[in-house]
Formats: sequence, structure tokens, C-alpha cells
Amino acid sequence: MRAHRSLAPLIWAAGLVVAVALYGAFLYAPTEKTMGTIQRIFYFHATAGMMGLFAFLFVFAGSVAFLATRNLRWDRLAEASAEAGLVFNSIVLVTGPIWAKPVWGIWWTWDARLTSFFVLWFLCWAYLLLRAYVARPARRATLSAVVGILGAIDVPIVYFSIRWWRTQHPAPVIGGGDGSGLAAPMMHAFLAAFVGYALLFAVFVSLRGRLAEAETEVDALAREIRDEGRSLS
Amino acid sequence: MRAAWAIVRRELQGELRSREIIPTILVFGALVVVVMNFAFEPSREESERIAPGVIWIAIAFAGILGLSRSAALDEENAALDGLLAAPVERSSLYHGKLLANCAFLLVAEVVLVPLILVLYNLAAWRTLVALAPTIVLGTIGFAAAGTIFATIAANSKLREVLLPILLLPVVIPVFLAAVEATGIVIRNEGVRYLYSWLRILAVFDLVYIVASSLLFEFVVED
Repeated sequence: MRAHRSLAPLIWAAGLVVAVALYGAFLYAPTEKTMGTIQRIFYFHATAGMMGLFAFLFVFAGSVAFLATRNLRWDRLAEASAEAGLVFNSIVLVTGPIWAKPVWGIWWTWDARLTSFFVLWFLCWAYLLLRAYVARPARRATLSAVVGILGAIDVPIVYFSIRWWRTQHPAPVIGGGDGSGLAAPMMHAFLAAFVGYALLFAVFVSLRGRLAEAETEVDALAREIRDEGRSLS
Repeated sequence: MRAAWAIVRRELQGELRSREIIPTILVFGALVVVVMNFAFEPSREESERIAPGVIWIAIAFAGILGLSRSAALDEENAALDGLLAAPVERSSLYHGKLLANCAFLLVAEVVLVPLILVLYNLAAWRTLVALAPTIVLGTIGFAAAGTIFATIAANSKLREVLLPILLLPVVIPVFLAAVEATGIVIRNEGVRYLYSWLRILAVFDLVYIVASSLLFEFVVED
């Protein structure tokens, strides 16, 4: 059993920044002129979307690193990121329609960006379902790494689909060319939400990674006990 | 490359003897078309609109059935282990299986696609010929991802049940581009739009084939 650094500072930091982000999004940032109060959902919707994409980058990196080194540490990173990614992608898919209904007049539209995120959500499920149904840890790690890499190829498609397909989704508000950009207080709230979610993401991945490590140890112990029992009988 | 051809020959010979995969794809594909007809009961104009979707749903669903059968045959009697004992590159194994799966799908599509066009009263030689590049590129993309995912699914406890869940999200871009391109051909619209979709299909095919060639050795190891 390896000794772990305490996660308490990270958890406290995440809690604090998320609280600041809530203040920033609901009280500090001004109400948007055309959309009104509902626009405040943006601070969490957009940042959750970014986390969902980051999660798949981590799955991709963890999968590549595992196949290169065969160190199960990387597999645990990929697994934990995929689960965290599922949480954030679910947040995107829930907050999106809540925002879309009053602004666009519809809950959902099958445009490229929404659909891509929906696809990403299914990819998370596919990856995690595969993991659930391959018993041997090394085999599970290898197969899911392959799926993680092939699935992550979808992530750039998600991003570039904004440009590839005509879409009803607004062009990127930040860094999307002329006429885009946020008012300074909105930017502050956005950054707070971004940092808060990033810390929360780190908390999820660390906790889940440790849980996976414990699972591996329990598995190994259970196997040892089984083998011991067999040699006795 | 010679190793890949040997695999293709083996797969085709096996199919010639057992006649399992292609008839399955064909019959199930045709059934999908019939079910779709009851679901939508399209009028003449609607036929033109939904036919591209029907074509690719039939190919995708029936194709999944064929792909999982092809992968299951490798697992039965440990046929894959025998193949792995051969001193060939793992990527050749993938290329061989990919080509064979493409062949199975294309043979079934040569019957299935004209049948759908006839049933939807859209059949014309011009349409059939113009559809060929779309069908070929879409089939390659579908099989490129399908071949590796079918082998992965066959290694899980869920077996073929897992394949559609793994494969469909990944091939959605292929599906989308293929349906759009098919629609453009059926409605006889501009070639320029057709090319842009075909280009997307070609890019996907290339990405999937390259990535799967590199990754297939991990899927079949030990």
C-alpha cells in the first residue's frame, strides 16, 4: 500500500474556487443585454464543455502512455478521466437545453456541435462499458486504451465540426475572431468557473484514480487468497 | 501485402463454403428496408428525402451483424490464434480482414442498394453509377472502424452486443457524410457539394485505417 499525500488542500481549493465562481456567475457578472439572466448558465455550460473535451485528451494521453509503457498508472488516469468526462459531458447536455429553450425557442437541435457532444457522451459510455466487461486488468487496460485512442480521434472532430458543418450554435465567443469577446467582469466570472471546474476535475480524477488503485490491490489479494485456497485443498 | 491477400483469400474461401455472412447482411438489410417502409410510409416526394437514410441505416445495421459474425468466426475454434501463429505483421492481419469485410459488404450492397432504389421508385442508371464512389468510401470507413471494434467486442464478455455501442458513435461522421452525399446524388444536385462530403469520407477512411493498422497488434496480443 503506497502512502498518499492528502487530497484535502486540493478539495478545499476546489470548493473555494467553485464558490467564488458561483458568486461571479450569479452576482458579480452583469446581466447580458439580449438573453437576460439565463445567459449566466454560460459560465458553467461552456466550462463544463471544455472539461469534457480535456477529459478525452487525458483519456487519449493516458491510453497512449499505457500502450507505450504498460504501466497501469496510465490506465487508471484514463479510466478516472473518462468517468469525470462523463460527469462534465452530462452537465453540458443538461445545461444546454435549459439555456437553449428560452434563447432559441427549442430544447434541442441536431446541429453539428450539439450532436458531437452527444456523440462524445456515448463514446464515454462505450469506453466505460467495455471496461466493465473485460475482466483481466492487463487485457482491459490494453483494449480500452485502443478504444480510448480511436474514440479520442473524435474529439478534434467535435471541435472542428464548428467549422466543417454549418451550425446553429454560436461561433466561439472567446477567440472566435472579430466581434467576439466578453466584457471584463464576464471574463472574470468565466475564468473563475474555469479554474473551479478544473480543480474539481482534478479532485475527481485523483479520488477515482486512488479508488482504481485500491481495486487493483483488492483484486490481486483476492486472487492470492484463491490460489492459496486451491493449493491447500 | 502478400500476407494480407492470403488473409483475404482465406476469408473469402471460408465465406464461399459456409455462406453465412453475405446472405445475413442481405436478408437483414432488406428487412430493415421493409420495416422502415412501415415506419414512414413515404409518399413519392418523401421517398426521395428518406431513401439516403434508409440505404445507410440498412448498411450500418446489417453491416454490424456481418462484422460481428466475421469476428465471432475468428474466436470460434481459436481460428485467430492459428492466424497469429503465422509470422506476419499484425497490421497485415487487419488489412486482410478489412478488405474481406469490405468485400462482404460491397457484394451485399450491389444487391441491396438497387433494391432500395427500386422499392422507393428512385432507380436510374445515372443514380446507381454516381452513387458508386459514395458507397465505396462509406463502406471502407464503416469497415475500417468496424473490423477493429468487432475484434475488441469479441474479446469482451458482452461479445457482439457491445459492437454497436462501440462502433456507432465512432462512425457517425462516416454515416453523416455518406447520407448527405447519397442525398445529393439522388436529388441530382451540384457535384461541388458532393465532392466536399466525399472528401470528408476519404479523410475519415484514411484516419481510421492508419490508426487501426497501428493499434490492431494490441487488440490481438496474447
